Amino acid sequence: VNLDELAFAPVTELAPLLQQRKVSPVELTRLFLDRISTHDTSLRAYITVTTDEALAMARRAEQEIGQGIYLGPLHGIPIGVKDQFSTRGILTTAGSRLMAENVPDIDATVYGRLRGAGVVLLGKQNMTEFALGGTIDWPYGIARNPWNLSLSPGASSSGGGAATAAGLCTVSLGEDTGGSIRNPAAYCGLVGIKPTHGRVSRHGAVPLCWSTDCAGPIAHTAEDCAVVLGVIAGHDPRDRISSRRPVPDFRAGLNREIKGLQLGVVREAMEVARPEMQEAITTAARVLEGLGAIVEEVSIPLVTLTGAIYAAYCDVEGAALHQDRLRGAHLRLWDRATRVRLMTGSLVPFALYDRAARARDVLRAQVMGALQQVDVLVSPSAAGPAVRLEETQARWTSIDEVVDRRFRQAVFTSPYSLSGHPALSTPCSFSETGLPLGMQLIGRYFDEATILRVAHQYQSMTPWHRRRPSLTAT
Amino acid sequence: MAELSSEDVRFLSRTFGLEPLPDEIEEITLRLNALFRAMEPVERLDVSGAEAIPVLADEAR
Repeated sequence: VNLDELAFAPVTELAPLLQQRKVSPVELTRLFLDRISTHDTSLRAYITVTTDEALAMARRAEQEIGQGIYLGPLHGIPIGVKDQFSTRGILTTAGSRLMAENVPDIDATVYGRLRGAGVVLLGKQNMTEFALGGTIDWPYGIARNPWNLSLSPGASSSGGGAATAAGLCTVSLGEDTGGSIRNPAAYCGLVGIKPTHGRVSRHGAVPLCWSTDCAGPIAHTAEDCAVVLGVIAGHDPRDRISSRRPVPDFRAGLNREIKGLQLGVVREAMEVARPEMQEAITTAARVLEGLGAIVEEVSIPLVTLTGAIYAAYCDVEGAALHQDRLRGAHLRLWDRATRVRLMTGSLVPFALYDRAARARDVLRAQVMGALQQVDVLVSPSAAGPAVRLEETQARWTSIDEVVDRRFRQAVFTSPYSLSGHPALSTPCSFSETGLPLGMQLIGRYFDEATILRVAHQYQSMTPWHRRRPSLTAT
Repeated sequence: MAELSSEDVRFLSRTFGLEPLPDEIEEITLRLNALFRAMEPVERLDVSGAEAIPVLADEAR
């Protein structure tokens, strides 16, 4: 077995090797720890590397598997966890200096479930401060894109995207409030799923916006996402709005054909995407048609106003959550960009927040209407490939610039955060400059199985998700 | 919504007990005014019958 190939192997390939004891969890963990030690000085995907815990968990997994106690496909699999999720006894900073000494005494429910499934925790992954985007002064180093170190790996689960793409873990646990799983997945050439809001528990995650925060995996394949989602999903009495619906076996239907499935390409998102992204989605739609799907165009008019609705709603909630930290002695511990964004949110009039909340309800109805017309929505995951890090850190200089770049272009991921629908991003091509492009699939409430199936079928026909960065580009 | 001046933002911040650093006032003013402008079409929307409380997916009809 080629060790370096194992660093990029999906869970579904590693699991049988681990179960049949052809690969040792300890060796596999050491491989990843070595790779982290080699590559993470430049990538900064991890805030904390949990070497001792990882090796102890790997030894336990090895012992259990050796005794015939096999817990399932995640047993012995090395993972990374976004530093937004509490991990008992392990530093959890949410990417902020304000939590630089926070060592929780609980596990977030989602991580607890992964631990129960036998994973090996390699470390806590870097993120933009408190899961907002646009961090300038990264307290734990700037996370970089393994496809090109001068580019953003996406936000806010930045380390999860960078680490998984660079072979510094097999899968990452991310969190998505407005696109924070799908955006890093798209920029790093990976698959990431934000489940239906309520499908997974929020307990133990540092919150940003209670009604859109959602945990989910970032992985190499749709099938790996199905495996991880199957473990973390389900009701949690410690999260009152987590759903009591039974969790299906997300892997079970992946091989069912998609013949006759109706897919709707979202016109308003296509209009904002760059030409090479439009072309990539059009070509991907043809592949899906080749698999028997029926593709048409759909319109969701309010998608074009999502940027403003999201800011007037979620930035205000984020600001409310952090009011105490925005005052007094804490002030200078913030990253400047995060502090300015939340202070802005603090001053938004309630009438505007209320209007945004009602508009959100109209948007939700429009998305539901489109999903009565078709089974799955198709949209670019972003306007184009990963952007330069400086672009994410630039100060705005005019109202027109903010309206155009912050609000008018936010048509890709946040509409489905606000509506609560499940959405995933899968690689669908590469740009002229050799960077991954992402296609987003959006499903009906609690129908993650269908979007995972479409992505899996698409991946069976395309090579994009198998491409790896060379880790030498700068 | 009327455009705010830096002085308005300074006053509002102080009223709510916030103390942005001096060079941040301009940026907060810019962001607020941009949001007000971006929300103009949202304010013209017909939201009669729409609820201001997020509907949980479990309850969506």
